[in-house]
Amino acid sequence: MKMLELEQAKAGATIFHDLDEVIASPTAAWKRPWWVRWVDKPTVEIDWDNMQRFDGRKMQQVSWAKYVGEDVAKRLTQLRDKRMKQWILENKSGYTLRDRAMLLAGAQAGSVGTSFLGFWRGSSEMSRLQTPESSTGTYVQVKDPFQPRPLSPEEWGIPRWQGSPEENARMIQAVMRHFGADQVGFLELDEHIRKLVYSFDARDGKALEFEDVDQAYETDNKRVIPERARWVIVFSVQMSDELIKRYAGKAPTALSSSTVGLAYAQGRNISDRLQTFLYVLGYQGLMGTWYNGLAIAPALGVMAGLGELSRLNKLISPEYGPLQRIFKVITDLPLTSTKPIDAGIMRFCRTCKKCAEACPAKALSMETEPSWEVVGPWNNPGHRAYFQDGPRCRNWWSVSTVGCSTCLAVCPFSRKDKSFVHKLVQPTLSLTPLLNGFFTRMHTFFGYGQAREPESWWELNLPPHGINSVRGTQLE
Amino acid sequence: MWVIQENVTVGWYVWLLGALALLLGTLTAQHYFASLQELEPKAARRGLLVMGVPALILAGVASWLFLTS
Repeated sequence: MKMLELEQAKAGATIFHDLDEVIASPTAAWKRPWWVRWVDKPTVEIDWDNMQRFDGRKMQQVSWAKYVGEDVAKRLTQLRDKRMKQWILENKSGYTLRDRAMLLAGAQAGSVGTSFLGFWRGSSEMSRLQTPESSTGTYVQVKDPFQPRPLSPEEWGIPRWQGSPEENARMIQAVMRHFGADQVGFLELDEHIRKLVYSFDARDGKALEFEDVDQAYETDNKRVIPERARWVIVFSVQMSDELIKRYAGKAPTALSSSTVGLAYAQGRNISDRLQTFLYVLGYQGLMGTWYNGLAIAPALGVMAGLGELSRLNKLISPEYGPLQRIFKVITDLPLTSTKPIDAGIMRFCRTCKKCAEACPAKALSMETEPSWEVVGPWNNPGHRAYFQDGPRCRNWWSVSTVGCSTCLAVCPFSRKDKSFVHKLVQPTLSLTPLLNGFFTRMHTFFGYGQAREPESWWELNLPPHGINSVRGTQLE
Repeated sequence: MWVIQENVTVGWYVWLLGALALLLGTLTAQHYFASLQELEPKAARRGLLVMGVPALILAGVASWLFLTS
């Protein structure tokens, strides 16, 4: 350590006095290229004695008009607004309506709550979240000093976006990836899919009704979906494998649950940005006012091909297993539907049963075959599934003090994808069930799905959100 | 090379065994290092057992057959 200290002192680097200090340092887990040196003084010279606290109001972003003159600022702002509209009308590459919509929508930070209609239109759900004095539920848009507020084409005086359903679907997939979604699918709200929209919304009990009107609206008693809003955009947000597996014994921990909460918050923000994007294009986007509101998310995910239903009664996707949350936005932007998939997942669940065996509340079905028989009124009849005892699961959340996700952690489909073994197993079980039992036993033998020491998570150096966001993309 | 100089005949099955040993060995190595990257050390070790040991056995048999041919 002494020799190391001398060398470090010569290089002007941080001095560690023992290995404990090295390990505890926040830079210990920070993987930088070998040619980057940690130093005591930055490469820019600073005269701390002469430095004063800066008056933030002097920032050019804030006082720009003062520096260039009000007339100049006004003229340039008018020029910007004129060009924005002109270039949209010219369909200038990089400045088209959809390009502008993505810019404006992405800059939104996401609403504090959730709004069925879009935060700029307000809702009584929003008013519940506002101060007691607020009765209209209006929400203050994020004031970005560089951008005008999102305007609809009607407000802008330009034609709204027109694209074929295929073009629109491709566009939505691209912009949703930009906003942070993982997988995106689409459904047409035909007579079947409409049955997956709640009759009464989940939290506040408002009726959800379809009417032949142009614009969606909301009253104290109902939320109205126009008949013309015939499409649903369904998307997923990944959860962290490393966090989900930080359970203790069979109980979830606050740590393991945190990836669930983050995914829900991400979903809310992405839905909010999607609503704004659609609005700027000239279309409606209707969001659930609660992350599990408006419609049955796993069901929509299954029908849109994001994954298959499972013994968990949640969606399992070939890419992320059960480690994602599903969200939905109803729209009148014409889209093509994506189809359901068969990757052998529901069939694997017949013999696996690991989630049901591991469930600390004994809430999941241990039957080999799925059933049409529901367990209780919390289940939605009309499909053949491994119906669960929901209240038993919920009771356990109180006992363990956090929302449980042990079933997700032990699922064989919850895994990373670096080893060739996963690339061999997944296609095989998709094509034939003959080795399913063997694969389940091997999953146990290899130690996948086992709980990891919770606090060890803090020592890891993981990507943002703890997920692999290149899976399933062209950067993989 | 020695095989050609000494006019030694090596059965095709020896080459096959050798190739299988090499393949299995490569897969073992891939699984081991990839599992460590996946933060699954137990899977890495079990992979050495399940794939690495057979690879070594196959390599041993192929080598013995080659040397005794």
